[in-house]
Amino acid sequence: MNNWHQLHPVTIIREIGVVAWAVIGVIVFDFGPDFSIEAVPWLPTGADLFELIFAAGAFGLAIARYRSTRFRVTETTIEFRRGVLFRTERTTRRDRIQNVAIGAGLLGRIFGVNTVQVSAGDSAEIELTYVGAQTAQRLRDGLLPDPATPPTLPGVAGSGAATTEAIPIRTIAQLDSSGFVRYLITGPVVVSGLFAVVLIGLAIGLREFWPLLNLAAILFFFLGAGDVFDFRADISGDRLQVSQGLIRREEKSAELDRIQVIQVVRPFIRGLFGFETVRLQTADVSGETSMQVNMLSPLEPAGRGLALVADIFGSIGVTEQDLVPPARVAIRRGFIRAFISLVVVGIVLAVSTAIIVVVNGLDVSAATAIVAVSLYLGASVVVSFLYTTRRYHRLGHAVGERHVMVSTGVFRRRLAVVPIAKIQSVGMRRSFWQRRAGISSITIDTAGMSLAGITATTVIDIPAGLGRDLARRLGDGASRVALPDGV
Amino acid sequence: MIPLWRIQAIIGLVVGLSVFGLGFLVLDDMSPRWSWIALLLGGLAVIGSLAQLAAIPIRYRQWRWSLDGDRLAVEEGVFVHATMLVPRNRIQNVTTEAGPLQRRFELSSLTVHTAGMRTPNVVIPAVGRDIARRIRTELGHQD
Repeated sequence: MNNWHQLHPVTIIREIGVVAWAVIGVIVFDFGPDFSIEAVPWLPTGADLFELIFAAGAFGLAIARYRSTRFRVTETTIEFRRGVLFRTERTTRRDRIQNVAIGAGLLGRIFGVNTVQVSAGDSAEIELTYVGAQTAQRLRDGLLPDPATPPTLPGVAGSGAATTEAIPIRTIAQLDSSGFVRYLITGPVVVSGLFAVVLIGLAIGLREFWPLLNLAAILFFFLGAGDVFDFRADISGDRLQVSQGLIRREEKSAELDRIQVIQVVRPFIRGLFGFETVRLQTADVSGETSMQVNMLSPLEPAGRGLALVADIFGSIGVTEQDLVPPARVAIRRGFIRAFISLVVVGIVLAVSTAIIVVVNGLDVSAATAIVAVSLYLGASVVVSFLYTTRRYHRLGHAVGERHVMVSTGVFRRRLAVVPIAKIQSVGMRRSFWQRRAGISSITIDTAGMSLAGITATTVIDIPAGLGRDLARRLGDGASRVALPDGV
Repeated sequence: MIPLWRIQAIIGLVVGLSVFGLGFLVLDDMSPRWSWIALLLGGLAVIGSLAQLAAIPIRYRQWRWSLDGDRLAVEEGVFVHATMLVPRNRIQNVTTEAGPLQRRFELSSLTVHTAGMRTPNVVIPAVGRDIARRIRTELGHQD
């Protein structure tokens, strides 16, 4: 297969299809009551000629697109090229291929041809529409690794001796009934929901209040905590197994070496009660496992989350005490940002109040307005200062030999631990204001789904020189570790 | 790259002016009172396009890329300056693309895809066609 190959000729029908709808549209339009092609002076007279040229153009373009589309498989790559006006050439390394999917739509089934999608776990698939059924089969068999070579890790199906031995299971996190109640009452959904219910209850009167409260409690129970009921996380061999849920019980599993990030989250209310939550993100590009973002433990005593991280990653080499704070100038920057935000909110409030006062003809003296504005500005200064101080103490990063730890979040503290070997790319970002202040932010990217609930791992507002060193160090660290399939 | 960007900006300007000119004619015919909206928007579009044209040399100066040792590095941005470092062994896919204008200048855009969730694509908007092919082949074959 070292030479360039064309797709199956049925592809021409598909290529025409896109433009053919436009031709049909023109024909329908042409027979409509209000349209006359003669009304367009620069077109040749007669709709038939126009449609003929259009159809011939569509057919010609379809053939040209078909002829321009080629693929080939070499010893190390699969290569694809396509395009008449805009030409695309794509090369995917064979050792990075995660998935080869064969499918057939209605047209494919009629003509006995297939679509082959070759995915390397990224956003740029190679799609071959259409190839013959035999070619599709040959491509799949040739591109995927040979299943006759069994994995040697224990606990993986097909690994010889391991199948005859019982694999030990170790429970690393569990949520018993008392923990479940604690999780429930410290959850933001439940707490804010109940707070809203109390407010509504007070507003509409006590009599309607209790049935509403009961209903809301049941609702929030399912919304906020039903999915972690009877939560349990076990390590069995090289796999993490999680079971959870009350009504919809889920059993999930993921390979340990697919875990990209573990995040210890301490939401404000849960943190006040001395608890935290541990979540993880995997890169399940094969689609065989469904654990992309999940709980590792819904509720742990504050400080134990990192021990759980060590259970998965092994020794991480750094602790919370090693976190390097952001540049001091970040305090000033944070203060200005917070204060400006509050001033903008204040302006909106002031304008709204002024409209209400004018519309209702209320009598508000200038002195009262000045006092109110002064109080608001004073409170804004205090709040901005408290926010900024807390932000400064919450941000930080620490780099160990094999892991990097990043702390973010002001009210919802997030401590992310990323194995350096799992880093896909490192970005350094400097806005205009950051450049003036001599600071930068570093974004550490790992594999996984973009819809993941875990926010980006970003080291915020560190000195630019330190940022450059950090980016280089992490990039070099990732370069030194070759992952078998890139994730 | 600068001539290419200039032509693209001029094409954008011409298309924009045509659209707003047509809008002005239609509005002037239907409701002359509102035809100033098309003039205003057209004027803003012209100012925007001219600013874009003037900023092209600055944009160009901010663009840097290098492929040395084990990583690809790309720097860009006028107001927000961003640097991306991609370890060579994390590259999953390499794509080159060339439209009619790019082909006229023998240029291609080069996109490097990783499995990353936040920034899965790193794009170099215009490099010499032969260089793009060489990089694509090099990154596609080597570990």
